[in-house]
Amino acid sequence: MSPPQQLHPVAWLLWFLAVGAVPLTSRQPLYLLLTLLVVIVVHLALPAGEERGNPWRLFAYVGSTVAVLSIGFNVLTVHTGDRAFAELPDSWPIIGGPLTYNALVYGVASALAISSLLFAAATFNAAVRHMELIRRLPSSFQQFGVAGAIALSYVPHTMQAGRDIYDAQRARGHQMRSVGAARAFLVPLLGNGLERAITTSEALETRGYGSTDLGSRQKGLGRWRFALALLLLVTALPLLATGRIAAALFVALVAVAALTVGRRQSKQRVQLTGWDRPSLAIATAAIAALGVILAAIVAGQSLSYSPFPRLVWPGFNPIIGAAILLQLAPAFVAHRVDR
Amino acid sequence: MLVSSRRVHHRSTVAAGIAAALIPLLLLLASTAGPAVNAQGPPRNGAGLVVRHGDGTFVYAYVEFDSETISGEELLLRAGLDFVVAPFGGLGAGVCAINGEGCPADDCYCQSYSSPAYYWNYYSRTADSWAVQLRGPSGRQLADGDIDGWSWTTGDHGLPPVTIDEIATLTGFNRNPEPTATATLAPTATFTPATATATATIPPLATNTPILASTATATAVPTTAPLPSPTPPATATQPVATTPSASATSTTVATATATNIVPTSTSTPSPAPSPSPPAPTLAATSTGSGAVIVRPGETPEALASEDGDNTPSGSELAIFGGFAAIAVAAGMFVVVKRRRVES
Repeated sequence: MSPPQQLHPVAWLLWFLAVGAVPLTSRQPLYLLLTLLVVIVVHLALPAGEERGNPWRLFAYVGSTVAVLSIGFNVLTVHTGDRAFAELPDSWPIIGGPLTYNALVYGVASALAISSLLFAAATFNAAVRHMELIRRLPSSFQQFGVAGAIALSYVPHTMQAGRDIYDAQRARGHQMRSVGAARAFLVPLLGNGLERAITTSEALETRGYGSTDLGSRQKGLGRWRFALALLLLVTALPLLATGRIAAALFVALVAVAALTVGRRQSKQRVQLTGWDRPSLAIATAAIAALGVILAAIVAGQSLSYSPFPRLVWPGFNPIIGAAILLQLAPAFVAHRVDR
Repeated sequence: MLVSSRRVHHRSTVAAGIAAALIPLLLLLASTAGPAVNAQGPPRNGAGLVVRHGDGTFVYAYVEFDSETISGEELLLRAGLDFVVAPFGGLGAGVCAINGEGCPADDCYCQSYSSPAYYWNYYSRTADSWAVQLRGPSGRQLADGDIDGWSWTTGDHGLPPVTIDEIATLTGFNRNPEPTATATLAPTATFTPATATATATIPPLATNTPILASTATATAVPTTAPLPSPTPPATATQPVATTPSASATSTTVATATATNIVPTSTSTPSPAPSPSPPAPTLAATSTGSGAVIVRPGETPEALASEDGDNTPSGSELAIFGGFAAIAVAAGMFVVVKRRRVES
């Protein structure tokens, strides 16, 4: 077994963006199914029993269950398509009308997309130390960093607090058998979760997060920022040419942000994880996958699929499939994440 | 002797069994293989469709149906147009694109967020005007004689004041067939089942050419069992053309299933009696699926819609299966390795 290994958080971030690209942009069931398989494999590769991972895992399971239930809701409320398998009386409000396989396929695809995103988020949050990721933000983003710290820590901390409160109340003989009794659980749970999040943000501020200092590396970083901004602007051009104005504006905004922000550097002295070969491999695979998916979106309709109005069999491009499979890389290098 | 008698009895039993098994099969074949002549049935309901594209191209379609009503979405579907819809929950479906013009399903009104705002406007034909439809096509029901209109526009709909009879005539249907036309109807041997209704309603002013049969054979795919015609006449009596006033190609369609329309026959340029298409220099062509395209001032190209490929490609399935197998194998490898580590 390889020694404990910690991957670079930016590599994990790129992996998260890569596996999230297909569920965010497509309802193609084959790609979504493959993405979900990949995400689950990587999720299984993380060590069990992690304090931070379990709450997110539960979050993903609950969310995926709701997503599966939404398939039935979709079938009952969307009466569009050419393949009907049953019909409810038209007099029934909202659900009355033909029930179609088209709506069923769309519901399944949506459930696959939601589940993929949830498990990807669970994996990312279980594998990455949030504080380290936030510290890597440019200091100009300090307000966003604090808000992000609160947001990211709220769910796992609240779920951990929930377990603690539940155990404490049961130790005191409190029985959670009625709705009224839940108040003794929910009120301290909410207060505790908020308190933890605020404490986290205060700790960030107290330790000087967001303070500014022009470092010696600034000049070198400036060139990289310029190159990144140029790359993003070049990426935005085909998006603009194909009419995806919102996406082009977003990419251009990120490019402008890369140029303007981060000129001031935080003087925090916390040692951060460096880049190693596994991290570089994961980052490279993620960037390659993002490139393939972006090219597929810009060049054609490879990713687009709609079961309406006619239910047709979705195609499968092996290049895109290979790009999705590349995201299995963390499963083979992230056997254990050092906490 | 006894053995021989038993053999004969056994053979007769087997023969009776085979015959019993073949009878339903033959009945099934007879019900599906015969020409679909249903000329003696009641006249079918019909609804019209007019689509105006941004470049001024008009698409006319006439769809026959047996039920009392059909939805606006079903009308588009049966007309054979290539269109994209996006579901909006209880509000029904919104049409995003028709014949390639418009937006994808995931951004249905992509060209409506700036000025000028283009999207597919939905109208219904009233007695003397076009009325805006506030609901989507899946929420509207059309009865016999109703007309739906779609216009890719920012303001004026630009739809012509057509009647249902004019659309029917333009697309090769006759909403008021004369009895003699039915009597002289002649599906030939190559005239496949789904053509019956269409043939029965070919307008008297059209001249059909021999490509009728070949086209029908190639494309007709009936899925319901039409009534067989025991002795179809040998030849069809096609009405004689009158003086052509415009160059038009009509497409005759027949509904063979409840959900689709099957193109069955194509006739060469025949005179459109007096349809009132909007353009003075009328050129029309068929889509091969029930719609007639009319472009002003030019010879049109068919915006033939192709039904999607409903059959999965074997190679694509195999590739996807291979990729999925790799992912599953990776998962098994990870789980096994993890168990070893934990133990």
